[in-house]
Amino acid sequence: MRDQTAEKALRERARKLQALHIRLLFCPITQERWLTDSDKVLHAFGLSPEVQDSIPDITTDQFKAESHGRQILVERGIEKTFPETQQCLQATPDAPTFDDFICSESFLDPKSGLPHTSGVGQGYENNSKYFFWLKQTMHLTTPDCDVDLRKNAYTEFATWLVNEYNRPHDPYYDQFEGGLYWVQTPEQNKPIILLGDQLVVYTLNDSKTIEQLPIIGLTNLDDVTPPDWPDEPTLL
Amino acid sequence: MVLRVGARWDDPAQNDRIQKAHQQGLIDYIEVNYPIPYGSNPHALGIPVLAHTSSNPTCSAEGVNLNIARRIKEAADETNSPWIGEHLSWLGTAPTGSLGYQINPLFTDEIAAITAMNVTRLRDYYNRPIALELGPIYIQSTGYESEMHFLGSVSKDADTKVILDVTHWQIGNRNLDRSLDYGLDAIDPCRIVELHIAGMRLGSDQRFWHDAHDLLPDAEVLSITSQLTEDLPALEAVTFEHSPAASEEAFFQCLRQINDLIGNRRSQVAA
Repeated sequence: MRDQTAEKALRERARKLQALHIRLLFCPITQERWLTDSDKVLHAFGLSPEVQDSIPDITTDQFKAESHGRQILVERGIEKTFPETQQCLQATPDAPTFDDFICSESFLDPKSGLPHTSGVGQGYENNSKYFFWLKQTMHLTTPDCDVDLRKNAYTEFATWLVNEYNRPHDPYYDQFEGGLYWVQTPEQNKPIILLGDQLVVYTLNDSKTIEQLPIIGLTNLDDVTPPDWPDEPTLL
Repeated sequence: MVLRVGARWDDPAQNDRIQKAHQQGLIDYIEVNYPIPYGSNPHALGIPVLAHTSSNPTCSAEGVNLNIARRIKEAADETNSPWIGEHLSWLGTAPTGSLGYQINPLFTDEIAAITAMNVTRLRDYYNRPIALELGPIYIQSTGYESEMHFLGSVSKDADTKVILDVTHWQIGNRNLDRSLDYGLDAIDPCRIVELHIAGMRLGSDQRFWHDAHDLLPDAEVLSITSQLTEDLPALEAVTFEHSPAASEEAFFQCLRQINDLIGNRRSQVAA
């Protein structure tokens, strides 16, 4: 039986190696830094220079093929769910890039996303992680935000949520029955954008109609955030 | 040893073709890939089940979380699966979640030690044997001669069975310019209880091969499979992995091929 202290130390070092290798596979920014000064990157990950031999040569075609495959899988998923948002971002000076997302803590942190429809918890898809990351990065809840970008990102994410609701799903997704709504411009009362369960977009200006939306059980997309999902224990 | 032939079950969309294949005597079991879509119930098909998952990070320094493992244990207990298939993989940097397709770990001594600990604890939790499988390989191992040697070592240290994914194995050998039989001798043949076979495709770069469950196994994979069914002393199961979105005709064509090449080594459970 391995001594608990020794196991803890082993896991701690392996945790850092795992974090570095996964960053190198997914994140072009980390790859660039690694090629420029690997010792500095090792230090940033809390690793000593001698572990460098454990890390594969990232300049080989084999490494590039695996890294490209992993990045493209995530990128294609995001582009499929957020096509108009991507176009809008491309036309926006200094907008964050896909690399910024895939190198962010939000991408790595399962708690930055919604629970999966299968019921196994958070972090098993990237669409919700991307939406919440973009919302924060582009300040989409502030009155001076890019309203077009907000409209596209919210509409496309709401469409994804409704589609997830329409499949067999964990009860978490029941809140998206009937569709979702949000205010067109933050901190204004109207107009309200409503995406119905048939994926039709409505623009609502009538205050009485707007007041009815939460009463009939529709969800405000601005209120949807990663929940405090209760994870089960980990075998350690 | 009598062989059984099975088909991977990933989605309820496969129910009709799988039921037909079972009725026609082409398969003996389904290998269910847990976790399954919410509300689906492949157990209700009434076909014996082999439990499998690609969603536990068995090599992770973070350990294996029970969000998914508990569901697999419950399913394996309900179906009395003879073993549970697990991948040697990382899924991310946290105890839960997945960044996409399984991530091959660093094949080093310390990751092997952690994997053996994780798998032993998981096996004790399941109270059932585990069979370990490798994913497709692109990158040369840094701490072992190869990923096959890593698998051989971990399966011995954790005393597990092995699933030899013939397609993944051949993808690795092609991607790393190795001979097609490279690495098999690194694994104790008495531990190999199951083969996986599926399609593979050459990438647009015309250099690297990838797993492709929408395609059928090529002639080389089928030929190797045929030989392995004769050579491996503990082999019990051959599982065909085919995408639910791929054609039903292709699904039946391949199952007939597998049955032909296995011949009378298969148990006869035809309806």
